Amino acid sequence: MANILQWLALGSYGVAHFLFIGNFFTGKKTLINMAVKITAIACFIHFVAIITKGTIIGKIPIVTLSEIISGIAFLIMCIYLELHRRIKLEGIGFVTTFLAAMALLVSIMIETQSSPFMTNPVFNGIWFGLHTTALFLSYSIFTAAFSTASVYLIQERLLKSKTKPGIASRLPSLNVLDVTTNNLVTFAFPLLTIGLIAGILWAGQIWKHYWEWEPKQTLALLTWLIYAFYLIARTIMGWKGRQIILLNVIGFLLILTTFLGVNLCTYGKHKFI
Amino acid sequence: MAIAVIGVNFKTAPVEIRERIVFHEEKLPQALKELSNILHVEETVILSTCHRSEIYVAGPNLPRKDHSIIRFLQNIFNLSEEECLPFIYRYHEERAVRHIFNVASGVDSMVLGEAQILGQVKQARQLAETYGTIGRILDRLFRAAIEVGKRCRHETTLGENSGSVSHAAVLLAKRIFSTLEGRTALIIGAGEMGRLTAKSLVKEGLTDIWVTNRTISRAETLAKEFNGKAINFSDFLQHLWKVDIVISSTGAPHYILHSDVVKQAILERRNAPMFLIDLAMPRDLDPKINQIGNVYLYDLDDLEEVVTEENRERETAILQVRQFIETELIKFFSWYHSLGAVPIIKALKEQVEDIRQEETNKFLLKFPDLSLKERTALEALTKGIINKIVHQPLVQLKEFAAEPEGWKYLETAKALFDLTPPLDYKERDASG
Repeated sequence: MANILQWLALGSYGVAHFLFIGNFFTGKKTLINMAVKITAIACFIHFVAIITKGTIIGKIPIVTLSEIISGIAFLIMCIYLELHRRIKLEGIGFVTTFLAAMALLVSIMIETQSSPFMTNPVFNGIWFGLHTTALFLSYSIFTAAFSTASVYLIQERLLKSKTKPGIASRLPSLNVLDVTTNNLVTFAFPLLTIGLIAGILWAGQIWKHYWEWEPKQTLALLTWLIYAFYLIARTIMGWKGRQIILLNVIGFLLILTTFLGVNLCTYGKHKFI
Repeated sequence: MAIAVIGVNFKTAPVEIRERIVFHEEKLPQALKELSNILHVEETVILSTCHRSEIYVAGPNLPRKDHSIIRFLQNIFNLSEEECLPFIYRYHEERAVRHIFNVASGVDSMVLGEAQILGQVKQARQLAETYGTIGRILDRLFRAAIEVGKRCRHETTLGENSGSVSHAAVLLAKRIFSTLEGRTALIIGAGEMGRLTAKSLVKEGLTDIWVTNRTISRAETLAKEFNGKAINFSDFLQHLWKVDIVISSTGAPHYILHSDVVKQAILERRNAPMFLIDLAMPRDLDPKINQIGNVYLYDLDDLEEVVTEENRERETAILQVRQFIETELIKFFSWYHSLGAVPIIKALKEQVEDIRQEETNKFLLKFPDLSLKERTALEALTKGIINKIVHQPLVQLKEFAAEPEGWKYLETAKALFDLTPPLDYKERDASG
């Protein structure tokens, strides 16, 4: 049952994505209105899918890698819908629906391979819960920030190269994208910090070593530093422009590497799936 | 049944004439009542804005050549024939319907796609309803027009484009800054284009304007117009970093702004984006400036391209609007023509009922001893027979009447059954 719902949500995200692209190229407002409505419906179906899965396995499904990715996709869409509600950020719909669809696809594909590992007593305790929850939330928000940042870069390119404005005029303005990115990162950064600290404390608990310079922890630190640098430069020192925005793209790539890439490595203690 | 519109607008009459044909708010109720008293006018709505004054009327026998409404205008506004006849347009039937659809969608407006007119059309309908001068036809017509207007607002980009360089600059500025409130602009030179562009930006919310010119007095004059600040030409480079938008239109034969100064300025601004508009010919701003990061330089050619693209967008939007209008037109006329069937249907029903009653009475005279039960059964039987007979033809009649050549079917039905339907509009209306 949950599977059907997931595929349905995935399909709906895909449809919404193509509608956003359609509006992008034809300018028909009807397409974007429909796209947003379908995104909302898809988000709801996704929510039901997650709940259904949760009731089947008996606990909140944010444990296996598959579930986490699916949860992040869901949160990204929620953030997008909320942003749209507040500031009519229609233009970034095509990015967020694409990311959510891809994430959900990955989630479904690796579902069978992901096994719940919570049986190990190592995963009890508050630090682990805080670690995963905080990171889970922050990753979602950073992904949304990545969406706004990448659209900033697209709009910037279009303005610079003086490309046909017809298409680009449907994207939000540079200022809105910049401010939104900043707000999102400001929101996500404390969560990231909490998540990392919780992780360190948990590591101390079970591995008896707080820090190890192993791949995942190192990359996580790098990620943290990049976003810290962004916040200092943007918020405290007031630097704007595309160079600063680019940091969010780098940060997101680091997140991807930290979160997923490391699990493909053969060494390091952090490999868990 | 006929629909007509009589009026003047900004296209047909100069402002000196138009301002004499304005219906002021207090005058409207009286005007509506007087119009509805004119012979053959059963319904009327007045649409009066600063760009048009139009009277919409409907009535079953509205004559095409009648001048009573024009005479009404002459009387109420004290105009002679020469003062109004050359400027007035009259549209009937389809042309009138199409006209109100065009008006409501903003296609007939001075500023294409303007939003205000839709509200004004709504108000006009509401007022006529309040004073009881609107009836079924115009109510349906105006509601359909409002529907078209709404669709145009929500589903097309009409009204979002305009064909001038100034407007192109505004659009670009909005792509960079979203709102212009709190932003600062520097006008270099006293060119008219620069002034107009600044005006457009101010309209969109730009508040702080600085002006610089080789002649300080000219800078001060222009600055005064925008409640801004004048800066000495020798000093303006120092202030460049504080400015978000630069509009340059001097008569200088060479570049007045080079890359190095702008690079300096953008650094001092910590890369906060700058929008530079070069309206001069020959150009004021060194094109190499566009290579600097976070600086966006647009010259006249670039702006013209934006204008061309906007015009292309507008053409697409207009096509969309035309489609909406055609769809709504067909819907309206389907309904409108089917109304013609109503009196004929009524007449036919009456005729067969008359026949039924006559024959039933004749039968009852021959058989006076029928019980109540038998009489009731007889009524039921005869009613059943005639209803069944006319049902299909009546359904078909209603359908055929909605077709473009539907009146032919109505005339045929009239001839076949030798019907003379009632001409009275009110009675026709009551039959629903």
